[in-house]
Amino acid sequence: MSLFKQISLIMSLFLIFVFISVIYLSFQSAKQYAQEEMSNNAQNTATYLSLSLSNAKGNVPKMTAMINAIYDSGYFKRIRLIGTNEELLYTREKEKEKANVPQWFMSLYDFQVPTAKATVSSGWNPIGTIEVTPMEDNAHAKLYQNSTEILQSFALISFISFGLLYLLLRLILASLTQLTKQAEAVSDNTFIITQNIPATREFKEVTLAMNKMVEKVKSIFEREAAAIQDYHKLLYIDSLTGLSNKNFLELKLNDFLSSQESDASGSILTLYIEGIIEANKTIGPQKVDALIQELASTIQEASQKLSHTVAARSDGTKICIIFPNREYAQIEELSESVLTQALVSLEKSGINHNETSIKVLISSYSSKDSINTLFSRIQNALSNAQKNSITELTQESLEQDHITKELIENKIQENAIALAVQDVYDNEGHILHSEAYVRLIDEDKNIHEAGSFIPLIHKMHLDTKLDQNVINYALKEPLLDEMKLAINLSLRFLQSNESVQWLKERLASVSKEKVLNFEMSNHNLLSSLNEAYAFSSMLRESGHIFGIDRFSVEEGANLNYLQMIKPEYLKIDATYLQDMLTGEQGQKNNALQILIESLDIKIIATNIEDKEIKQKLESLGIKYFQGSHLAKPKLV
Amino acid sequence: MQILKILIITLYCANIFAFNGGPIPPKVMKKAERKYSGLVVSRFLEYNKLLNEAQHLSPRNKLQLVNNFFNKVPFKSDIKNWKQEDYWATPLEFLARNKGDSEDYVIAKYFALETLGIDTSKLFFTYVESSKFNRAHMVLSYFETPEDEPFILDNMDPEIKSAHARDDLSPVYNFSPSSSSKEQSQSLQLSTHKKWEKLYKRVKRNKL
Repeated sequence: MSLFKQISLIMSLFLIFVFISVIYLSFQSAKQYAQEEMSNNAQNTATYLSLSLSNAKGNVPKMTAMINAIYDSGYFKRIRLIGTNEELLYTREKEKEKANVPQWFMSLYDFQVPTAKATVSSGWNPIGTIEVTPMEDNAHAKLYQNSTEILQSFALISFISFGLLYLLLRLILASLTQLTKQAEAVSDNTFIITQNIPATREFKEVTLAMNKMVEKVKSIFEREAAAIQDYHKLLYIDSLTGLSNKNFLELKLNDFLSSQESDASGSILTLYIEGIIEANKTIGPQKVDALIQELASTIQEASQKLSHTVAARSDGTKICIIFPNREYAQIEELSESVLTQALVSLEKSGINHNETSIKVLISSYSSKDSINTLFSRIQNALSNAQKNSITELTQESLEQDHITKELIENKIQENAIALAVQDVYDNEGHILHSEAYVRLIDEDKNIHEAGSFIPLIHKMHLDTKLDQNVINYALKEPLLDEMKLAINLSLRFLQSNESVQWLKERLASVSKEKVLNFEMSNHNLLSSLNEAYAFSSMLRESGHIFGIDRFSVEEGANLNYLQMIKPEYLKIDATYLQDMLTGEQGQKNNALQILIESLDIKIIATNIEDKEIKQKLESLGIKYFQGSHLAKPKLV
Repeated sequence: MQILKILIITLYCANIFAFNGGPIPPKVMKKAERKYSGLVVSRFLEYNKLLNEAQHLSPRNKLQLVNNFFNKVPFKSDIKNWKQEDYWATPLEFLARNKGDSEDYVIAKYFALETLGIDTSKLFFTYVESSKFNRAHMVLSYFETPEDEPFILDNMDPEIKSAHARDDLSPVYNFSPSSSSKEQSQSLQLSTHKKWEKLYKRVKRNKL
């Protein structure tokens, strides 16, 4: 029970007690007053009557006339004249009158009707006693009227008092509500600093203390996040050029090649410096380093002109940019300016043109490639390429792969896509959830993996349609009923209000027991943080789960967004995770893990392809795994 | 004096708690001595002596002794005595001040006679008109039976006379304190006679 309710209850009980006591006392005093008044009247009448009767000097007709005169006024129930030997001399009595007062009301109180007496004399001698009993009906009616008035005024007073009580309590406890919110936020890993310091001393102290604590926790979090970013840089940044290093390039390429999203295909620009050994001899290694740095900054600039690019130095003589989801046409202009600037740099450095030259190669990648074939293809092409010019490696069309736009359109229109699922396990072998992968089956019954057609779908702007297809499939297919599915969503789906609204309505019709996971790649999420925030809140409210796929520390983005989005889990590439969790000297460095888990976010290591890496990660404290070593995607 | 002291002690033992019209306890005497003067104590002692002596006498003699005892007290009107129009003094107040008006005599005689065992239903406070003094007056009437002629105990007349012998008085109203007290005890909340009720309370409190 909340403090507000407790105090309200106690105060209400107290007020009710006071009101009832006051009502009772008022009623008692009204009753007493009525009784006294009645008794006084009766006594007065008895005394006056006895004086008159004494004057009658024992004349009975005269006395009865006197009694009748008084009795007929109608205020008395009974008048009796009793002789000295207790004998009844004369009596007048009225039948019980019907009172206009409810019976239950009269039974509530004990009303004594007094009988007043006075001695009647004749001369010196007392000849009897006159007894006067007043009529009680008037008193009952008066009491009833009094009581209803008392109750009415108290009802009004109570109404006002309770209203005031409510307002007052609300006012006093407002700061407590604020405090509760702050406390809830702390346990929810959100850091709220309360600006309105309450005036109540106790609340003020607590608020200040909480603020201090929140600030401390916040600064610890930020320091840790910064340390993680530093470590990421240390691992993956080339010290000479400031670009990413070969490790990172391979990591990213692997990520793209295995991607189920639109970045599963794209273009690569490679800048190659031929004859670097000669250059070293001619102008000296320092000048060569300066030249490489200049070329790197040209590349850096170029890469920043488009989104989602990776610029890396792949070895001593090659610098490249990966342009996921881009075709040659989109980067041609960029390549030309890179070449021009590179040639200028080369000129400035004063090397021998015959010995050292620049080659720019544009090649493509797709999900069919492996990183090794890709690298050897580039290497071969470079050795045959023309000096100081741009070479384009012929690009294979996706459509050659039996996937046509018509096929995709038809399949999506007919809701005829296929799904494969891959289970995610915890360290005890229980299934956490099953990730759904979209598949396409062509007329020849060939099964196509997502990477091979998603880029095309993206190009055709059918991403949201596909996502809706998958969701419908997942909700309808009885085979999937028992599974906790994780469904990937595209950036376009997230960014479209209509789609999110559609999903919200769709989920509202799903039974409460069915919990769906929705995930989104880290990169997509970062490019649409506000929508992601709204989306994850919507899912949480409707009892479903939001997760982040393909997580890595992105340069320039601090990790506060995790705290804001509060995903249920992060899927992190096993190799990357291992790198990040291992210190420079091979020791354990679980800063990233501690940080993520402090936000109550689960870490799922993905791409577990062999036993060794799983064991290694397990020893580093990772509890959830996904990969072909554990379970391959199975077609539903 | 020795006998008196013994008497006081026995009376004290017999009636520790309250006066109630009965013998006056020493505690009350001390209080009276502080408030008034030493003479008060001697009057109180005389009163106690009277009660003691009258104990075994016939009702008529009791009436006589009590009447004589109180009629010795000088008359004084309430307005002069109490600075009030009409004040019913308790027997203790009456004796302590050693003055009072007709009601005070009646009251004091009534309580004394009650103590001496006279049936109070035979005693009435009678409001009368005095033709001799041409004013309202009060006497204590004693009825042997309701039909008998009453004996009148009057502070204006040293002798107890039968009613017919008092043609200077014409009766107006008889008040019976005993029936009023009976009513009182039956329903405590309601008063039948305010003045009597107040007086009765003061008597119980030994008001001086």
